[in-house]
Amino acid sequence: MTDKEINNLFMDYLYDEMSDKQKKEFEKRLDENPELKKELEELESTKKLIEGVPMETPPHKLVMMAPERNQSEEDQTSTKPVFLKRYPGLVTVLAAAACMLIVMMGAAFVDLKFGQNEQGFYLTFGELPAPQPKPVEQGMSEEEVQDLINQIREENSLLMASMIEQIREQQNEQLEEAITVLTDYYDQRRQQDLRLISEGIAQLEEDTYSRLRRTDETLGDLIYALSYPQTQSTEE
Amino acid sequence: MDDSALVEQVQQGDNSAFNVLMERWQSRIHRFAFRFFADVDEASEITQKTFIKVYQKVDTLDEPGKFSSWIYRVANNLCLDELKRAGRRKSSPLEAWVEQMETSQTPAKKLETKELGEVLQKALLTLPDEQRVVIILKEYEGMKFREIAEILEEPENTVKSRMYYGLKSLRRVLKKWNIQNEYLNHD
Repeated sequence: MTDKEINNLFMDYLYDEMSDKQKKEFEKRLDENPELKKELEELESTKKLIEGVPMETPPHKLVMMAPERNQSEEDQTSTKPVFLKRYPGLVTVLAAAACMLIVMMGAAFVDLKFGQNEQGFYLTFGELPAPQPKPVEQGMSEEEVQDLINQIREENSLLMASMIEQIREQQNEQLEEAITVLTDYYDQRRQQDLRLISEGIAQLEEDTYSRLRRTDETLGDLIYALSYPQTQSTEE
Repeated sequence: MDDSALVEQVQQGDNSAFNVLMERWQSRIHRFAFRFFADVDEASEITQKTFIKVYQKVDTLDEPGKFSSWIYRVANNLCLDELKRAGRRKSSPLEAWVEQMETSQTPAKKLETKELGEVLQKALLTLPDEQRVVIILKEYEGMKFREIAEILEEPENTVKSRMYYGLKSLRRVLKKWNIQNEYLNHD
C-alpha cells in the first residue's frame, strides 16, 4: 500500500467515510504500526482544534434582490385605485392641484399680499406698504448761492484773522514769560556770583591781615633779639 | 420545497423561487467566502457576485439536483478569480503576521477562544488555495469527499490527499505559532 493510499485511508477513517470492515482493517493496521497511530493522533488533534474553535459568523440578510414582476402580478398586487390606472395623467394634474392648494392656504395663513401701485409691484406679509412721502423740492438761485459763498468767505476770513491775532498774543505772552524767567535766572546767578566774590575777598583780607600780623610779630622778635644780645649772654 | 424544485421554477421564469433560493443559500455562500478570505466585505462581494452569476446561468444547469455542488463551484471559481485579480494578495501567507506571532511568543493557554478562532482563520489563509477550499468545504460545510470532488471537479482521492496535506500544513503552522501545547494535545 502506497503512502498516498494510506493518507486517503487516514482521511476516510478520520471523517468516518469508510465501511465497518474497512475501519476494522485499518484499526488493525494502526495497532501494528505505532508510527501510523501517532500520525493519526496528530491529524485528529488538528481536526479537533479546527472543529472545536468557533469562527466568526458573518451577518445574515446579505443579498437583497427584489424579483421582477410581470404585468399581471402588478395588476393583482397594485393598490392604486382603478380610475388612476385608467387615466395616468390625472395623477399629475391632481398633484399639481394639491400643490397649488397648499401654496394658497399658506399664503392665506401668512396674509400674503401681492399687487401693483404707483411705485411698482409689491409682495408683503400683512399690511400694504405705506406710500412714501414725496421729497420736498428745495432750491436756491445763483445769486443767493453766490451771496452765501461770499458770506461764508467773510466769516472764514474774520475767523482766521481772529485766530491769528489770538495766536500772536499767546506767543507774545509766552515770549515775555520766557524772558522774565531768563532774567530772573541770570539775576539770581549774578547775585550768587557777587556773594561768592565778596566772600573770597573777605577771606583774602583776613588771610592778608593774619600774615601781616605774624610778620610784625616775627620782626618784633628779631629786633628785640638784635637789640639786647649782651644782656642775654650775661644772664647766662 | 427542495432546491431542485426551486431551481426548476426559476428556470421556468419564477423569480420568487430565486428569492427563496437566495434566502436559503446566502448565509452558506457568505460563510464559505468568509472562510476563504477572512474578510466580511470581501465575502459579501463574492456572495453578491455568486447570486448574480447563478441568476444569469441557472438556465444552463442541466441537473437541478446538483444545484448545491454547482453553486459552491460558482462561488469557489469567483473566489479564485478574485485572488487572481488581486494578485494573490489576499491569500498571501501573511508573513508579517506570522513573524509577529513568532516574536510575541504568546502562550497558547492565554489565547481566548475568540482569539484562537482568529488565529485559525489566519492559519487557513496560509494554506494553498486548493487545500484551503477542501478544508472549508469539509470542516465548515460538512460535505462528503465525494461532494467536494464533484464541486471541484477533481477525483475523490485528490480531494482526500489535499485534505490530508491541508491538515498537516495547518498543524505545522499552528505549531510554529506556539499553539500546540494546549490545543494540539497529542503532540
